[in-house]
Amino acid sequence: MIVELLIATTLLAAFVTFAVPNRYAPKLATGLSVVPLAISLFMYATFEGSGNALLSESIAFESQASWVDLGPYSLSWHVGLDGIALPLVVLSTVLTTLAMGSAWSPIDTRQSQFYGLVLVMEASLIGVFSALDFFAWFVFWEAVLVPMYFLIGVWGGPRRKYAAIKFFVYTNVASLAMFVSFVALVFGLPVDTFDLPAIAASLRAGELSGLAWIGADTLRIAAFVGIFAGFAVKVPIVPFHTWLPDAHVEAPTPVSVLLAGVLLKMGTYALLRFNFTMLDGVAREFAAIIALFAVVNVIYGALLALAQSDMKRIVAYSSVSSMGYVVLGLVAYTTYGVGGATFQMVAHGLISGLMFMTVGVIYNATHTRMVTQMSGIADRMPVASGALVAGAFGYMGLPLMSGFWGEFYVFVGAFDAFPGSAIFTAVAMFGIVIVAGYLLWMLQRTLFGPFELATDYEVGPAPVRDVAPVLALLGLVLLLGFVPNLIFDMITGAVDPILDPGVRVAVAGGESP
Amino acid sequence: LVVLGVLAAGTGFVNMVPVAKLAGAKIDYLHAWLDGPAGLGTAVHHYDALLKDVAGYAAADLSPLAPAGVSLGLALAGGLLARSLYARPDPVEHTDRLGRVKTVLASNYYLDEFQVWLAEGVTLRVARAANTVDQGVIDGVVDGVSSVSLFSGDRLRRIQDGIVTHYATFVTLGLVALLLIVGLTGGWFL
Repeated sequence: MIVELLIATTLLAAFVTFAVPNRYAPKLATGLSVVPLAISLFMYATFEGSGNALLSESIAFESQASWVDLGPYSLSWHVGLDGIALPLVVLSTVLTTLAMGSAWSPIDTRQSQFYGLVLVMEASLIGVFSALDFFAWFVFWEAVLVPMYFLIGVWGGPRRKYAAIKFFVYTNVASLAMFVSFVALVFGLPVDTFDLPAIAASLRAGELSGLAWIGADTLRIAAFVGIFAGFAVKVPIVPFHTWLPDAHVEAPTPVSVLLAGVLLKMGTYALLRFNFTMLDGVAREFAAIIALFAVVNVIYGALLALAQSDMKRIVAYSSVSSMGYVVLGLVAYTTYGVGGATFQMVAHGLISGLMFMTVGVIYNATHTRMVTQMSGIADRMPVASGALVAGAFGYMGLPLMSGFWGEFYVFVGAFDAFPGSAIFTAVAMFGIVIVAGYLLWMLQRTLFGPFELATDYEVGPAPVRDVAPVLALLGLVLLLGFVPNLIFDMITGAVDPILDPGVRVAVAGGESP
Repeated sequence: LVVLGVLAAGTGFVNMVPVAKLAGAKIDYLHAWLDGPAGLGTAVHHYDALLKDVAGYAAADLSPLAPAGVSLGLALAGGLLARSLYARPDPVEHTDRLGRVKTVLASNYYLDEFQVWLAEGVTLRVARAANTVDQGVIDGVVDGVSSVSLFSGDRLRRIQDGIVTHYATFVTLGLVALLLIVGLTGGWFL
């Protein structure tokens, strides 16, 4: 029942925050968010799960109860965690607390509503990563959209309404495509439930029999494409990505932290669960096409970032590029490929959060995010500048930072994965060069040289309350950089059941498969 | 320069694998440090295992003596050549004999110019073109769909003019269209 406790305490914290006056909301909400954070860390410390939640019988923190009957189908409340979901739950709780800490300065209106919505979103995110029944999962999936819509639309920048509506319509249409495709798939199976492990078992056993006039193979491929397209918007995968830069640029900084840090991971997590676990045969069959999408994401996202001069837009497009590595790792179907992709989800969550947070701290002081409108910031804001440099190094994949392991594992796992994968991996590696190019250009122009600022504000060291969350995130980036096995062993334990026995390998310092 | 020289020599002594191989002494400090605990993920054998066992790439089984010998030999040969050319009371510049090659060498094979051209002349231009396509075409399609939806909605809204006979006409037309579709697909007219 600990997953229910986690979700309930987060929702309770949200309702309490909604009820208190605005002036108390920031500190109270941040304080209350420590409770789910502590619970998730306790779950991490006591985690004894083994295997994949969809494919194994032993699921950590599992609980199940009958919910409602829908014709011949029974819907249930079924939650549980494995080594893929737990790191993402911890990531959600950590980033939410830190994002709320970073919101104390920039959010100065309707604070109780802002922090309450952030907590509602946190509860929904935990639900997405822990639900094991499709309908419960879908309720949480859609529930994430509502607070995010308001967070962008109410507290965002000048074009917030455009960005919020674009985000909502884009992701909602995608959800519809995914929902229809998945339900059609279930209707073609001899199951009487929407329980995800049961559906996964039936699909992997080859029990799909077709639906109406559609044959089994056609249905399998059509459903794969529909579900993939639905999740591709959330990841995002080119060309379904154009909602992302608008949402990031218009969203307030703490919301950008959560958007890049956790919300994008919903897409990659769902891809892993649905497309790459349940429909693994189709994914393997079309591996080269999916890898092509991944490589285009890496290079195209990096090129778009190179053409920007708004720091938030640069970091936003970097996320598009980084998500390409995740998709490349997933389609590799090797321990290091899929494990590295999952590791990269966490690593990118921390690093992108760090980057957005630091850009926000600099923006709070300079009131501009344009690279061309400032220089020499490092003299005035040394700690924030140092954190920005460190975050950029993390994005570039420098050793001893978490980003290094995510990308390195993906490259190692993908290089020899399937015919032609070496070429895809080599081209994807070139993305790092472009990333280094635009990030170093951004750092050089904004942080170094003589101090100049077009907005004419007085700039001094950032307040401690602004840099504290930044330094905490930096500490986590370094911690995972030094000791990746803090989560990588757990991840590979959950990843291996998806793979062919022949490609499983023992991770260094971990258990043999 | 002296400080840099001392530091360079000191750094070389930190990892004297070839000498350790010859003398059997345990003086390969850097190698020993990098060969640390596996759990940290920073150990050199971790990468070795990844490259061999996972990526399928193994390093050539080459003794460290050969590369060390080649690099030492090249360094000594360069030193001796420089001594024979310039260790005299009135040394003259010999590089003019190289002709145009001298300019190429002095310009470091124009690598800097090539890199600047690659970054600014190629990559940045491609990036700006991609951004134009992204904003104009990909995002333009999305905005276009939005505009068409709004325009269609606005036009369709005008159907609701409050005149009952108009509503009845639309309902009748719709019914006829439905009957035609059902009839055609059901083979009523054959």
